[in-house]
Amino acid sequence: MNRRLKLKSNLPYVLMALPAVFLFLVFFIIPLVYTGRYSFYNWTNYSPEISFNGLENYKAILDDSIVFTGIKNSLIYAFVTVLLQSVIGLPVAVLLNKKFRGRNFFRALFFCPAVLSTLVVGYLWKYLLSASDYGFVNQVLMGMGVEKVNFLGEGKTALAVIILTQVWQWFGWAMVIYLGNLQSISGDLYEAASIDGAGTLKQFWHITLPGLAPAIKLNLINGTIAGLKVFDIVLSMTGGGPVHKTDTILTLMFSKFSEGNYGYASAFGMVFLVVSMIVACIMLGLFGKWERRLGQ
Amino acid sequence: MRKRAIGALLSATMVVTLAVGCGNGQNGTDNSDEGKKGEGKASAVTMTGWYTEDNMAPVLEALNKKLDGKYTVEYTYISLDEYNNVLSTQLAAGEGPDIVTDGTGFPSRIKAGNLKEITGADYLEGINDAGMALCTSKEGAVYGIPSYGWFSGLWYNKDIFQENGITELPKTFDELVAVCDTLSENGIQPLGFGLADGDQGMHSLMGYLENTFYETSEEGKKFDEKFSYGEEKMDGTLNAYIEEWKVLIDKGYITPEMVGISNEQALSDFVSGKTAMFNAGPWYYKNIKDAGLNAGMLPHMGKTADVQYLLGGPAASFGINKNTKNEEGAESVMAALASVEVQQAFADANEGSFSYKEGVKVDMPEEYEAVKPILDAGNVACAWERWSVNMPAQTLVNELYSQLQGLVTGDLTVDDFVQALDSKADSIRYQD
Amino acid sequence: MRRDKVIALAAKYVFLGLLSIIVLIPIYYLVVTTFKTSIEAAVSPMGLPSRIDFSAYIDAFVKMQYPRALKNTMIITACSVTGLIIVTSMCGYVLNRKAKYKAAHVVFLLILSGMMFPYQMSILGLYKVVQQLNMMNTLWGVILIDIAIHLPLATFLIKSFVSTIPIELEEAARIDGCGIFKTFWKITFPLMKPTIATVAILDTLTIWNDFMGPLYFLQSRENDVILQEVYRNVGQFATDWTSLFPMMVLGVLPLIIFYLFMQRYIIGGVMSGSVKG
Repeated sequence: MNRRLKLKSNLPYVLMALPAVFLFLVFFIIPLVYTGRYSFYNWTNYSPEISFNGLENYKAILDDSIVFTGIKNSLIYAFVTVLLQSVIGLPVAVLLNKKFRGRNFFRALFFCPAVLSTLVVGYLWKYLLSASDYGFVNQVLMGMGVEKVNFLGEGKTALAVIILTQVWQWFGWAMVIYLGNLQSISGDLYEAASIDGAGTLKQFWHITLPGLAPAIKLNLINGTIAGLKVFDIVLSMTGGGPVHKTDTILTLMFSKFSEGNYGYASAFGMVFLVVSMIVACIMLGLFGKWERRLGQ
Repeated sequence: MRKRAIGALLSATMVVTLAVGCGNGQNGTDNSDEGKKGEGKASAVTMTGWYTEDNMAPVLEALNKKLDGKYTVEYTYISLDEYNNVLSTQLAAGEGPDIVTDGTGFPSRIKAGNLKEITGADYLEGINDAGMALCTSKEGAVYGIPSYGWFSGLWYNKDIFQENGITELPKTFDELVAVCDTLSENGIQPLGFGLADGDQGMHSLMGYLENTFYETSEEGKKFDEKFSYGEEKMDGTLNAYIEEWKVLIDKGYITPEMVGISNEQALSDFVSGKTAMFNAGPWYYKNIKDAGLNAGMLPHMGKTADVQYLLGGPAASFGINKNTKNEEGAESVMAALASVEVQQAFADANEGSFSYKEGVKVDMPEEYEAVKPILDAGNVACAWERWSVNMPAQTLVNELYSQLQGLVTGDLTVDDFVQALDSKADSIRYQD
Repeated sequence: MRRDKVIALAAKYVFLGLLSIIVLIPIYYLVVTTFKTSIEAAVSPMGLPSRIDFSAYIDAFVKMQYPRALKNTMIITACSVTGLIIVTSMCGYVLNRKAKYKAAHVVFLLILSGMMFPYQMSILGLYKVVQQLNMMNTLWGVILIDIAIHLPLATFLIKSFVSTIPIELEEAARIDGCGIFKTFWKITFPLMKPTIATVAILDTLTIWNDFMGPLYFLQSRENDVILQEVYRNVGQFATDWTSLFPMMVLGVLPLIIFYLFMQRYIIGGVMSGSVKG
């Protein structure tokens, strides 16, 4: 077949793929290119003349210690949230995989918070955790004779409770993904192991866990990447405070936008891109290793 | 069974989509029509602001009445948290409302070239110089008009004061601390600030500085302008004064717990009688009044009683978007905004505020008895308005909120605090 | 042996019961506080309200201009999800069937990279694009953005699913004289139903709950969505903070109702969306 004919016969396929590719280019790639370009420009709200200023924006980012706090917080948030979600979600999924009365009820209930808007969840927990008189969690603590905790007023506890609310909201999602994966693990394996005299724990370790590799991979990688984007929950719970201690990459980037420092914010976006790429590569590398080990 | 349900779900989605899709199509054409209307019938002039529609309703009514059907103002509320962000992004993209509203950030809009110059316009008549401060560039060109004047002081619960035998109102900062001592001994929390997202703590600090440094010394009077241009630093100048104010933190009247409390929670604590005082302005007047609280306002206090200042300045200023597609309409709306009727509506809608326009009559409710003489003397000023000559002052104000949290939690010393502000200021000064 | 089993079962119920309580308490608090005054809520946050009074809801309903906001949210979600399904099903199909071509591979990798980084990083660039297309402050602008940013995952899911559809069916249809388009819509598309349901469910949840997109691209109130209404109102000073709770409930109610009815399919959708990864 000559080239032109080939092209002609493939034309319908090209046309079918085109809308998606077009949308992706226009609303994803071009904005990215624009942002990359702006990151080298002195573009602020108060200087209408845009001029090239080389690496100035990147230098300013390196000079700003809050930037590192933001990146650190995003990484801590992403890793801890994703780990805790799986640490809770996986065993619960194993429990809910076997048939028993109330199984579907529990599944539905645990997934339920994932349906709520994160913004509303943030507001809700802000009230529950308040150091004010009506803060429910503190009322419970004080009822148990423990001292009141100023959850949102201190950097460390604030980040911790932000993470916990997100574990509360999303462990059900992780659980469902594990449940999906568990269904694909053949029952024969367990039967064979039973016959060999392997106990529950041993079965879990040698059959369930390796069998869940795809779901673990999916949960951890997607969860981490999504975790780096954390924004709504911080906005509604602390707004980045106290003293920037819960600021994340995106809250900082948006405050730069608010300040009208667009060049800097664009450079921040590019830094974010690099951070997510590194994290993704590390995660993929680690899982590749694990999978190869399982394969042996 | 399952497949059928999914099929049903899909077809339902399709039907909904088609149905609403058509509706949306109509919306689309509506929008484009609006743009084309232009001259002729009442064309819309757009305007945004951080005052809620409820808040603005009487003003808009007066405004539309003044415009007499020639134009109508379409007002959109944007929450204060997002306001600067949304407006900046719009203006940077050459979009945005026809009438630009901004507060402390107004000079930065001028700087950015977002606004049309209106020097010499007829409607500027009768607005005093203090009101024009934010609307005038360094070179004297005029870009906007003010709405009304805001101020802040110290709200106090009269009943609590009385019950605790505080008959003499404090006039100096030391007397204020003594009042806090008395209240605290009697088991009452003297101050209640929302430091999580709030400006109340900042008003307390800046009120003290205004009365002990900025207005009382020659150095203080010139300091902010120099600071704004980078000729002076806060570090080395303000440290001692802030240290004095910090008594409130050291004595446990401003607590780390407040860092976890929002503005509205602090307000709620105040109106329920849990706390005796908090720093704020007339913007809470209605909430306090609605709660039936017997409250009054004191000025910010300094070392002596002879100089007393309130923090304050023009609340919101208005200018014409340089990229407006409805210039004539925008001009008319500006003229209407500057009219006595609309300025009166602004003052009335923000009870306790004052006006910069000649001919506007303002009644001060009894709650403001103690601050009225100060207002009459025109002793209203605020540092960040002065900063705004050479930096986007709101950015530094936001940083101040943040750093103040650290000062309260004890994470930062006063030196750290002022150095952080200096370093922030260094990174945001206009360069040209 | 039997006793062990009973104990194990009991332990299981106790554990799940405790977890249920942790999940339920905040939701219960959210609902119950809507019927209380702030003083009542401060004294007994978990107690049942002294009266059931829906006036706060009516108030919230009016303040949020709920019907309009709901309509906008529905339009955005429905159009985005439908559009997403149409473009990604075609694209995913082509990328699978034509995988041997280098161009297809490059396009796939490009789209896949979209899963790795958030679109928020380039929001100013996006703003420029939307403005140049004259789509600022229109629902269509947000719809197209939503389609674009959710496109990578959907394409990925569909492309992997297409591998399980035997190509022979298409070949047979082609021999019968069906064109490429017709073959796709008549033969292949119906067979994609399970994965399309997954895409529909996953993206309905995320697009409905998306807050940043509308916040930046819908400025006028006529065009805003439910979450923007929640945000603008909850951020306000209110003497009676409990009056904010009905707005929060109204903010999440539509999806909760959707969930209550479609719960099995939603969970099923998330489940099957996963294994392909």
